[in-house]
Amino acid sequence: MTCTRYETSLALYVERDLPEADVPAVEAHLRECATCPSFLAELRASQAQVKDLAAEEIDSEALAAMRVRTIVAAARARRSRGPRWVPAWAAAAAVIVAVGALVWVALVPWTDPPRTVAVPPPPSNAPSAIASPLAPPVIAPRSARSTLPGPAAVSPHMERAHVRRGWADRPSVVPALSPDDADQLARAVVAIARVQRVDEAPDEVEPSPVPLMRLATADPDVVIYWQLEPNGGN
Amino acid sequence: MAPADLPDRPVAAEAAEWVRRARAGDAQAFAVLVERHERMVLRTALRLLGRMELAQDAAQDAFLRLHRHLGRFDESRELGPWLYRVVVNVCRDVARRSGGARLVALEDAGVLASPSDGAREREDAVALSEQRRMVQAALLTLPAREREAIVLRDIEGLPTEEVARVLGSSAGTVRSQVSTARLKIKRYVEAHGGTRR
Repeated sequence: MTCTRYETSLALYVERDLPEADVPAVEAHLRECATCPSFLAELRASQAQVKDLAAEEIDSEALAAMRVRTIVAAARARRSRGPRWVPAWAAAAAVIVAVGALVWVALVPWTDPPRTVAVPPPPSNAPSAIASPLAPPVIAPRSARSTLPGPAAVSPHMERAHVRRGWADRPSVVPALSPDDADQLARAVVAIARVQRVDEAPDEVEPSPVPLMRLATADPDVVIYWQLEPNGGN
Repeated sequence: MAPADLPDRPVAAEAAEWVRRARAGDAQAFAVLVERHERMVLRTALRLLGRMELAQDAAQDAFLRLHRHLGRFDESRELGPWLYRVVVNVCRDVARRSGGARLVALEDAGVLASPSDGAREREDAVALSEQRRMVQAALLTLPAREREAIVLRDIEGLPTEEVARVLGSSAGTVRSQVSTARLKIKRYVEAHGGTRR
């Protein structure tokens, strides 16, 4: 039988956690009570077992495994965080180059016979008759590439939005893009920013009368075929 | 007191230097920080979770949080209390993710030191191992807050006020949690084989 109302105090007293002000009363009770001293002794014994857990050695292999995993994960995190600015600059540079190319192609008159810039194995479904001096990039998602028809790949909206040579010929009003066209254009910008390589024309391929560039991007679903028509499409 | 209100304390200049170097991106310095605190972090996680694989995940997560937050860590503060707080929070997350499943008794906790040759010593080692297993099982029967309080106070040996800061509560609350936990463990131990000593 224990004095229940002293149990909580004894559970603190056993580890000297009892506030100083309460200690005299508890010690006085211990001197008078017949059962609480043995309760305190039992508490001391169970507490010794609890504190003994601190002496238990942790498996060194478990420690080493955790350490290696942690350090490797931290290094990976550092690598992924560190050069974040590089792709941003690379993307910005790619966009600038792409825009510069657009302007250059639009403003510089073509006097020389068309030269092949790069001729990949021309995709059978690549657009071949886009009636504009600079056809907009045609995004050919892998899923849609097999069914992508040439002219039909460019929507009527995009047709109207084509770039003409010379400032005077530019449309005064930029037509609104449909949601699909806007999405396609956005993907084109992103893809241009992530261009990984421009394929060289294989020697055995017949030179194409129309410059065609194939831009492979980081997105495996996005390949850009960029067709230039130096005669202005006339 | 909020956890963020841990008071500033002077720490060894060397420890601060490791923190500074780790913050500057020195991988070796971060490895040193991990090595210095790994036992404390893994042991605490093991006592709170009861299973080594969960404890390893929690310890790794705690160190990765340290890695992420090094840039904001004030090196004039001690790393230990901060890590205790992180590992407690991570263990709460782990316990929550485990769907509130009852944590089981320690099956694969730390191993004892190499058993000695004598049969009597081997018997003692086995008995001690059983006793520790039983106490760990008793710990896992406690509500999370009581378990956190008693692990930090009685096993890790932090002062009550420090435990309160780590847990973001008051010293009075910690005393209440600790006394309740001690009484529960005493009853559990007596009901499962009594005390050995």
